[in-house]
Amino acid sequence: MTTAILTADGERALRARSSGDASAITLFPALAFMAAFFVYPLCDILWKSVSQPRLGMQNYVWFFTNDVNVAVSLRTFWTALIVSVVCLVLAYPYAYVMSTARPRMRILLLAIVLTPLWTSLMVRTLAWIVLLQDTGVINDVLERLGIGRLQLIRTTTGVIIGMAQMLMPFMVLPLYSVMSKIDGNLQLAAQSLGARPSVAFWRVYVPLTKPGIFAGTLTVFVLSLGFYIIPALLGSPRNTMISAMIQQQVSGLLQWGRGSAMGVVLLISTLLVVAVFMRLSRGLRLDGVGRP
Amino acid sequence: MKKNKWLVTALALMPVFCGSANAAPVAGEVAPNSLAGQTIVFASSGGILQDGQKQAIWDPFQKESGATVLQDSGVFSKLKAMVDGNNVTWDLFVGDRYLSYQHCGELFEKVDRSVVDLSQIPEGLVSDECMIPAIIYADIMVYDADKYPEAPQSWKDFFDVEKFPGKRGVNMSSDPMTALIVGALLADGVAPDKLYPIDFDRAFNKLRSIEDHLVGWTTGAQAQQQLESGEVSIALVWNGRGFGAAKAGHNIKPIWNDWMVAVDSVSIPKGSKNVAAAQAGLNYYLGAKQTERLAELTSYAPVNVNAKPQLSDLAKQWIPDTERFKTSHNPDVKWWSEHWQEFADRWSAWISGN
Repeated sequence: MTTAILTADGERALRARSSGDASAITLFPALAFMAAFFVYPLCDILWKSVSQPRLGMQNYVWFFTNDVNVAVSLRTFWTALIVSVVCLVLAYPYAYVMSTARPRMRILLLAIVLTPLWTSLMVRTLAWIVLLQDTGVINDVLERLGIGRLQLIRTTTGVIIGMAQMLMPFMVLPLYSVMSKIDGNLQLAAQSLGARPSVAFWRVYVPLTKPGIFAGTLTVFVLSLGFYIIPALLGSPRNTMISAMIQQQVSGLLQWGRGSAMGVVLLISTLLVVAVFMRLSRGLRLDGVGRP
Repeated sequence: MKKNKWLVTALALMPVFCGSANAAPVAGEVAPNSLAGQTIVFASSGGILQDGQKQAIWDPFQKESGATVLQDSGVFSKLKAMVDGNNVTWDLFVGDRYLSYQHCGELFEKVDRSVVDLSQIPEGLVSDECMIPAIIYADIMVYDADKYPEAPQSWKDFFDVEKFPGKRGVNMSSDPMTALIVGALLADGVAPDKLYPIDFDRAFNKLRSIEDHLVGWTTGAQAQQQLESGEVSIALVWNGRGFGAAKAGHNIKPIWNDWMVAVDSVSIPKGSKNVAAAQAGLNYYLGAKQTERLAELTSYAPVNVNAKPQLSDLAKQWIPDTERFKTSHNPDVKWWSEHWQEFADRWSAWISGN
């Protein structure tokens, strides 16, 4: 059954590829747009990073010899990793319920996940400040419950809560799209062959959702790397991420060479992460998900 | 008829020629209708300051000079992009004096002293040839008088967490604050006349010694909010923010000892298309009446020695006036500007916990 689906997918992909020549003209506007507004600025950034204030690699030498830059970069990747894991843990059961719910319920669940995307970033972040601050709603409730007040705002926890909420849709949607295509009978079949429900879930269901897990985690991780406003408003200066450091160099100090070099380093390390993910997900298909 | 017209024109032009030949410029004056039809763009930092500047300076300037003044919000990196790209749309820019010093001649035009009268500016505020002061404010220690019956007096007290327990609010934004470094050095026993060259190691070590008692703020609004919510008991803030908290009914008091003079600047971007009109605008900005009105609207101190703003009793407690200058520190703008990069690197290391 799954094999049949994959084959159909493959055939569709092949057909799309063969009609590529004819669509070259229709691609042109988008490519021209990307060249003018993405490729050219990117080249300019690359050039600035080795030419300002003078030709040479001084900006990169500065970046890697400065402890703060290295520490903040590591912190940025670490924060992105935690956010990805938190999103995955929360989104997985949610997407599962969505994939099994009746249509009306499914639409409601989808709307709940998408609402944050339709709300202005600033409004949402300020709402989090109101909720998380020392004298905020959450702390008032905690105190009334006898748990006592927690320091939530200006901590890593606060930053992760804010970022995870914002990025949740990017995890839920790919998971849901994969889960909705999984045949529920597969788990029943596993159980009829003697697997306990938990074994059927972990050995049959979860591996089938791996493409969704990879797609969602990668998207959330990469998007997390560039976060700026949420760490600034919900975190302390000790939660600074690399985008804030770039902003300081570009806007505060007018050191565009340094700012550009930081951007290039961030871009390259992100590409490396993507490459690693691609490698892992290719191995996944070789694992033989759905293959005979 | 025709003859009359010539005569009128000649008479009208006379003061212009005579003016440029003899009379020195007078701060706050502009020849009536001399800029009719011209447009200048004023880029400032928005909020209460820019509203005040528009009302106190540019509205009357438009009426008197005939020029049109457009408002825009100014960002320093955008200014650099404009100058680098040879497409400067701003004619006046509000920035700070460290950046003005570092980029005078490169990003900014020189102030033309034959047009702009600098003689009424309080002493020590013109730090390079490309700027005039826009406003004076204070980087100042403030405290919660409900928490300390006995008022803290000095930077030593600010760092004395036993005599004055409680959290301290300090600037931890990415924009470094010279006052905190000077304060740390004074608290550590450096004599006021021995501050320069600044010993960064000593200053940051002093700050690290009370690390657990510090709460960082990154915006003025946040600094004020920390005072109002009672999260901090003593703080280094901009005087406007302490005033804001006091005006909102909180028992916050300023400490006018060892406060640091802070100045925003107005400059003409290099490559401005209306340099002459912009120079005339700078001269008008410095008038006693104009700066007086600006001070009344914003509670920032005027940059003309003859300005006598009418302030509320509360505002009077919070404005850096002539008397208070005697207990202030005016930063050595030249030294700081020449070491700004190093300062910024050290500062980022400190705020990010390294």
